[in-house]
Amino acid sequence: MIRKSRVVSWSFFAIMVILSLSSPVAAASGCVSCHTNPELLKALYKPPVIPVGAGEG
Amino acid sequence: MYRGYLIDKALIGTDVHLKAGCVSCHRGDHRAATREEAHKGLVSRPSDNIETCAPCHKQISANYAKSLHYTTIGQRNGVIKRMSPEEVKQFDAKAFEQSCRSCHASCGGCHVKAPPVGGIGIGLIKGHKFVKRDEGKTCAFCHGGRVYTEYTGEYGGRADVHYQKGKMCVDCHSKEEMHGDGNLYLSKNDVKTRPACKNCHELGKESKLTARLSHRNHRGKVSCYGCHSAGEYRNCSDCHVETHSQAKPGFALGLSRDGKTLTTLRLIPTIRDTFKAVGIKMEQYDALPNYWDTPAHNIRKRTARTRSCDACHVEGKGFLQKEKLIKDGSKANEKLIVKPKPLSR
Repeated sequence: MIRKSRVVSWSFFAIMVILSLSSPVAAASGCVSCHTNPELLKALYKPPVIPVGAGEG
Repeated sequence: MYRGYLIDKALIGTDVHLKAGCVSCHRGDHRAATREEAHKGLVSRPSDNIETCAPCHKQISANYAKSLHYTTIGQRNGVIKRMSPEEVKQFDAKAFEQSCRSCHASCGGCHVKAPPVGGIGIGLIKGHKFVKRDEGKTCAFCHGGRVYTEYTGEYGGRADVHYQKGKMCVDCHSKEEMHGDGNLYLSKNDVKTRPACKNCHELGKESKLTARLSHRNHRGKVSCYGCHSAGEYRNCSDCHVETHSQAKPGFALGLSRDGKTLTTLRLIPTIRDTFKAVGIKMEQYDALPNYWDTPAHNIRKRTARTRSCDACHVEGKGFLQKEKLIKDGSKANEKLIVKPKPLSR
């Protein structure tokens, strides 16, 4: 009986792990890891060339 | 600025908009190993397509698709009356989409990432938070050449009294006006939800007798701005496709477009050869004037014109005059000139 409940709880745990890996939040982590890192973004950022006269609208 | 791309970590897991994951709106490949691959197919401003927001914000999206901020049709309709039917076709093909319409505002342009002007913007407003309003980072970018800077006094003129009292754009320009009411308006002048001074300042309720009398005497003849504009405001001129326009301070009183009211006039950017670069001469250029009645955003309770009747009725200060009209301007400009009436004392 105890062994059976252990199997059930381990299965539940495994399912939860699989589900969490495929959830949107986890899926977004690739983007999030860079876009929440100010040092990295600062290093990668290239300032745009500002055309003369823009913004007079 | 790199901060324009920096997402606030605290929002992840708390903001409902971010729960679906970045790629659900921005596309790209979140599993990619390199930056280039991750950004392949990226949609930088997903709400340029209103359908992105529509599943949750159905009514607002449907209304917004018809609003002037999105269609920018007001700009088109403001200029095509100067053109022949053939020229209008050319304008639509060569100028409107590429130039005027590049300025349209998406949902995100006001709520997430400041709108780009000339392709350049400040990026995320508040770490990708979906803000309700932040006029200094949104409205100011598109309307910063004229209205916003004259409202705040940043260009050097006197700030609007409403700004000094803490009112910002959306306090008068309601969200119904911004999002649209579902009607497809051809010009901002047709929009029913536009703000009006009388919405807050009821005539006949003035505390001073002189103000009450003055308002009664000028009612229907002079606009509120005509007397309460503090002085010079921003005027744009010399706009050309592919180059730029210039904003300069100026002040002019003349007739409104319906020919009934004396009001503040603003020099508009369209000049005779604005569309020359794309082969449009504007065959009916003189059909419209170069000065349009404008709600000057530099309102003060007391101005030279509210202090003294003589400012207008004797000195004619600020009135548009033939000799002050722009060179090679529209022939319709002269119809706007008003000669102030002398007072019968």
